[in-house]
Amino acid sequence: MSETLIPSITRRGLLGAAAKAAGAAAVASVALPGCDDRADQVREFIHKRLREMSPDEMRAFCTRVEADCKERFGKDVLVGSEPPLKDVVFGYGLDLSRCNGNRKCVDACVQENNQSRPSPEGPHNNPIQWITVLEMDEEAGIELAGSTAYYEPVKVPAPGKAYLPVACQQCDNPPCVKVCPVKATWKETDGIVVIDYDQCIGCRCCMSACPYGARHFNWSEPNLPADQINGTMHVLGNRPRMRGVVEKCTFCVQRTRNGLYPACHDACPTGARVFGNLLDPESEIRRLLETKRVFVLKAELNTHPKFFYFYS
Amino acid sequence: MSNITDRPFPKFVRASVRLWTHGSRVYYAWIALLLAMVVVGLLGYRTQFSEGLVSTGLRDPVSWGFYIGNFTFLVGVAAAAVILVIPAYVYHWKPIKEIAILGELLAIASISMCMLFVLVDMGRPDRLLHIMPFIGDINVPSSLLAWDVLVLNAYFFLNLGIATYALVTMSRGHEPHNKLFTILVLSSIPMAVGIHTVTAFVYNGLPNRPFWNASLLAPRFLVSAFCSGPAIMLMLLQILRKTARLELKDDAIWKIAELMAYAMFVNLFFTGAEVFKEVYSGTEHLQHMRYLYFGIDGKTTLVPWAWLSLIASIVSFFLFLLPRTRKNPVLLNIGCVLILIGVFIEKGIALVVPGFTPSVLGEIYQYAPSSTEVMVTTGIFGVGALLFTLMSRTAIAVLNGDLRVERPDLAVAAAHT
Amino acid sequence: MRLHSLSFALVLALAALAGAAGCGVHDERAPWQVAMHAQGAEPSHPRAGAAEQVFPVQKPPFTPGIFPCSRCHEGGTPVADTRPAIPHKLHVGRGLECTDCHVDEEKGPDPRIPDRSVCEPCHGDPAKLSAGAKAYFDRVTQADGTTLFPNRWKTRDVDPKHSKHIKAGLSCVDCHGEPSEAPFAKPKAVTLMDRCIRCHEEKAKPVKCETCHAATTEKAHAKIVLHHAQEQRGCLDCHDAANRDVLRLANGTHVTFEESFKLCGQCHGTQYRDWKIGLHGKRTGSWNGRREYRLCVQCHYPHEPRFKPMAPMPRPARPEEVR
Repeated sequence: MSETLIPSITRRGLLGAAAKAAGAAAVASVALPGCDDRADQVREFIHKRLREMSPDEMRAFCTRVEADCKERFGKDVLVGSEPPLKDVVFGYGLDLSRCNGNRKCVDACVQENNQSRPSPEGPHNNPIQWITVLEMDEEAGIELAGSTAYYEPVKVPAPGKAYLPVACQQCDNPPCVKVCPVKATWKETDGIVVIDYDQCIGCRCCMSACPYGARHFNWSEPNLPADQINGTMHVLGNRPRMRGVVEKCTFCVQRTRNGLYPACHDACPTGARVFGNLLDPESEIRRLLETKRVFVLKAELNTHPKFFYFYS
Repeated sequence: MSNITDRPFPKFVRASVRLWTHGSRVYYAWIALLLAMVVVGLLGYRTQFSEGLVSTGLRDPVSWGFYIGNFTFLVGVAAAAVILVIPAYVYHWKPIKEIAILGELLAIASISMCMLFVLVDMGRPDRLLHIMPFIGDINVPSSLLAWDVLVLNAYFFLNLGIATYALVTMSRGHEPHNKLFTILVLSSIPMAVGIHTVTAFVYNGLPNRPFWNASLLAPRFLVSAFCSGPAIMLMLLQILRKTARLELKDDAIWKIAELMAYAMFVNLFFTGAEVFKEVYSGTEHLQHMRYLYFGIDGKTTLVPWAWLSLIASIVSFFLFLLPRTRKNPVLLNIGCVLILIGVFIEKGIALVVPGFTPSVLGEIYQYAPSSTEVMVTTGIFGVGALLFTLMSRTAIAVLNGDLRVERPDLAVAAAHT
Repeated sequence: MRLHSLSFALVLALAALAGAAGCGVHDERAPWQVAMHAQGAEPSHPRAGAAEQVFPVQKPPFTPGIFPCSRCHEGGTPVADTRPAIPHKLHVGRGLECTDCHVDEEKGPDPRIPDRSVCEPCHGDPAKLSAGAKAYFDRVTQADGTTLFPNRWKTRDVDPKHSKHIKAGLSCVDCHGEPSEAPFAKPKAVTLMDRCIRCHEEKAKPVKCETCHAATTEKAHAKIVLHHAQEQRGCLDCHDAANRDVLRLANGTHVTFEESFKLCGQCHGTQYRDWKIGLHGKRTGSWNGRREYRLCVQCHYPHEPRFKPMAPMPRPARPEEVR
């Protein structure tokens, strides 16, 4: 079933075709740190935007990313560039009555999406987590002021506490996209807001504009141990990022465009997460919208999130 | 080849360079100081370049800070320096030409600093070209920062063009073509308002940051710029009047000071209006102002600066309001310094940081600039001051008639000051 | 005058800028909102397709609740008892009453196994013993000469509280049946229990497990502590007394453990409905293809369904710790 849903550019096919095209590919570089080849820097200057690339150029680009990863991490990875599926707009639901703040989703997200890991001993300690789980007083409702992401009880849920996981809300009217001065971030037709890591100049306007604190900046070189790399990547998703660019949740674009649920969805031990295609009346998310009262965070900002919270 | 170097502009440049490299002991000491600042800045930037922005105090919850604050302050200076032409024009002050030219030069220096602040704030300075108009694909009309880069560039080149044109023309013994010059100078005035407004809109257009999302923000930017810009101009004019034989009547200075008092009044009034709205409504938007003036949960990093800014602004307002004090040269300059302190803080960290604190998710991260940021900032102010010093030396020489490039066959007459 | 036109131009420019920059204003319905509204206008059509893409996850071997009770409880076939037994039929045939042997001299009728002295009047002389009786007494005589009668009921944890039953006017045969065989036609325990329960229900007596099985919770079910509406519910509200391998709905219908959701759904209607459409419980697999669901009991331990507090993953780094 899911096999048929993988778009025509499959990962395997891509690899073979890309190998041929690689030589002729004077396309763009993946300014991966440590890659100080001058030719790369020249390519960096004439970097073509990912969203303007032809399928051939995209394939060549992905091959370059794969080669760079091989060189950097000594690991074979597959970098896909699956385009949005037709007639699909992704939506997410989260049952706040069930969330107990265990942060399993955060952990799964970090593993899946090759986020920078903590390294207290290393030269730089710049861990990044796309999901922030906030702890707040149960009786106060959704009260962000005074909430904390740094709770550390022995067991969760702590008495009298409620939890609110927040990641990118994949707004239908994304303020971050509006403010980006270089068009490095945009909304795809399946509703996922993505970032071209090679286009981002690191001005952090999007971080100022995001009402959900969903965007994270690589303040230093990301710390990604080679043995912890998830080798299934998407060029707009979990491929390794470089210092000085912004990153955020992509609804696991490398998974969801291949029919899988996002990693956080599968990791949740309380089954609080609901995911699906908003355009499919049979999908879980549509049934959620139709049978439950849902709400979105900061609706007054007219961002139209596609991340719906509810209490069951 | 010779005919190229004999042309007016290269000669003008050579004469300027000669001017820049010759001067009094004080001049050399001043240049040495500025160069030292630049070196400090370079050292700081070396750290930042090799480590990344992690060497600043910035983090995810507060992702803009000292750099962007200075940028904002300097856009105001750049704007106000030129806007000062309006009163000079309206009141027909004697040295209108001088004020106009020096205003343009200050604007050029400020904008250069602004651009440097944007550059050092970038996570990927190697991708600077991505945001350059015509070279990169910039996101107009929707991104205000893209607009800001556009208008800052335009403003920079407009002022550079005006000043160069005027000075080169004057150095050849002609008055700049009156009509064209006036039109250009006057067109830079709406541009000046424009750059500061667009800069305000960069903040203003973020509805998730209630501290900035107030319609008074752009007017406040303008009036505070009307305080800080003229304050710098006043001090510069006084210095140049002493050191560079610039003719400037006290009346003009007092008039500027009086106008600054009005501007400061409006600024304080706007601030008060903002404070009233937040305090009386008492919504959660008040938190940002609370953090600024009182701190939250004992987190009070900004509090002394906020009050220093407010008190400096109020004191300077009275100093400039009362004719007796504003006509006293010492108090006048104290007032200028106070205004600079007041506005530098108000449009710097006291604008940027409270917008981020508490963060959109309610986190309170106490931002304070790191030593790297202070070093880089020192360097950039050094560059700006150096630029202005050099440019104004040329300008003063031209205005005084000491720098002449009259005919190709005539020697350049440069004054040794 | 000049200033006037200047400021006018400025205002125009600003307005144009704001208009241009604000062109991203979002006032249209999102595609799914349009779809939902359109659907609301039409008569609701039967939904097909999704359900057949939903499959149960493979059973984990020892998930609580899926674990078959028959692994401990004798379920299907009677257990062969090799222990010696008194041929009751013979004794009754000689005109004896139950209470002639099962008696306590002070308390009266008592269900305990009589000791050797009760047998003495008839079976005192070893020479007169029948072959069967001799074999029986040989089996129960220990090496040291003492006699150890098999105390059948004490091997179970059932305490039927005979005195209460006798006081209530029940005779032995009411529960144990006619002593027609030797030994008793030993009923399957569950069959007997079924009889107990039916009678208790008829007489509105308690039917909780611990009513009879005094030691139950301390032994085989030592770990089972019911925290599941325990004031209102007992074991047999879900488990079937006669067949431990099935569950029992309130209306008496049996359901298999694979369909335990039907049982849970009797009380938890909202969750059941949500679960069926994928809003409650966890689904894995593919959002647009084969989905796998979990049974209620694969996440909730049915005897204590509330999730236990769990240790959270490490907290994120504070901004102050980033360097």
